[in-house]
Amino acid sequence: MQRIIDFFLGNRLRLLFWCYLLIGIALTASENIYLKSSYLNTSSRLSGGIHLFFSGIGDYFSLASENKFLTTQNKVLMERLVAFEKYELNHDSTLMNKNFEFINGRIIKNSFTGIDNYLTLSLGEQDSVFTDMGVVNEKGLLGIIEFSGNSFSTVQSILHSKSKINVKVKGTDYFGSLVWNGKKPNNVQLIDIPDLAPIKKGDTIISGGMSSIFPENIPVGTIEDFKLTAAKNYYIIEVRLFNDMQNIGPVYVIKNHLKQEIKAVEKNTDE
Amino acid sequence: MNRELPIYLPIKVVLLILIQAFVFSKMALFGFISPMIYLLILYIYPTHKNRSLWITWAFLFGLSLDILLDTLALHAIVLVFMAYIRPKMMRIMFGLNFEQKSFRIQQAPVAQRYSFIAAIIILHHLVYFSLEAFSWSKWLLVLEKTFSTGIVSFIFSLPLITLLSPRRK
Repeated sequence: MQRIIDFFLGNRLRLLFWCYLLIGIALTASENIYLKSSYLNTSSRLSGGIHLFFSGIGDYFSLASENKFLTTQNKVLMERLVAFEKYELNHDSTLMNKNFEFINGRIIKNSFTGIDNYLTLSLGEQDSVFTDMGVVNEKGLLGIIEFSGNSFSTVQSILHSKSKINVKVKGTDYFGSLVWNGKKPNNVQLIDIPDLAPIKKGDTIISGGMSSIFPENIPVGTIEDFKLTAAKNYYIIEVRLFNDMQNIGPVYVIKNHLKQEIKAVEKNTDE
Repeated sequence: MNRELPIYLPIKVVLLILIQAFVFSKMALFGFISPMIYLLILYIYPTHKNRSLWITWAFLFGLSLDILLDTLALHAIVLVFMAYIRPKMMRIMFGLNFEQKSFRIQQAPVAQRYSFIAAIIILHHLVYFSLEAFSWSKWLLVLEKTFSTGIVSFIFSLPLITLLSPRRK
């Protein structure tokens, strides 16, 4: 017994080191959903308040530019509304796509310099924001809710090594996946577009609508450059984002009212 | 005024966390570089204090940054690792002087101090970005980020250590 105690006392530094290292690894790499979600929930509650306070101070100084932006956006929306009303006179409005609802919020913490970036959003389950909902702003795609706490949630940014979003080249039916190579925060890569696709620099990339997360036609960016893969059958396309990921502004979370139904149908098909 | 009073250390620690989380981590030099200056804790923490306590502090310090920056526990892991190997690195950098109880890092020659800071920055960034990427296929990206961020972190660290270190008598 004395020897065991001596061993622990003699090696306490090494044991402590391994103990902390294991706790760290468990919190970072664990697949245990309960452990991870309770850690993320506590941490988002702790840091959310602090970030809210600091971003509140920052927001106060950008009120003028935000006002200007909102009036511009209002103008665009008014124009669209007029066009839509004209359209509605000639068509049956009940056929309109009303599956998607937008919930507005703001980003209180933004990161873009890491390899895996997350945003913190001032909305949570109490605002009907749940995991796997899409997040956009007026310029385009931003990411997908990864974890939703009570009043805050974390968003997996499109600047994340595991982000893979279905998009297409505007005006064609060529679909591909949007990924990020971890380098420039304003450029992402589009893969899986076959070499037959008629693409050129400057073409617009929009969301593909093949998932229940994002509706179709949400803007993403423009083609800056492209090359063929080594096997020469697919393109790797460099996409310049419309969004400035360093300066995001107000955001909208997209709620798909038909999501449960889509999931249920897909589940039944798999069985 | 003796600035080595233990009461100043917690203030410096909290300052480092806040400056890192709300100033440096929000920076994006050249579009992608956020300097990491919080690892100056490895420089300013006294060398001959209880080492178990030191590792515990390093873990808690890293974890508070992780909570503020949404980085799971990456900073905590890296800081615990760096805290554990700090004495070994110091022995290499400062030689026999380090063995003496009276050794103070601030009294070492400038060249030695700066190379120690450079060494902790490079090692810290290398471990951090490797853990963040967590894939061998991204080794080039890891090296690029280590050196680009490392140089900027070093440049920002120099004025900060002068502010945070006790005055020489």
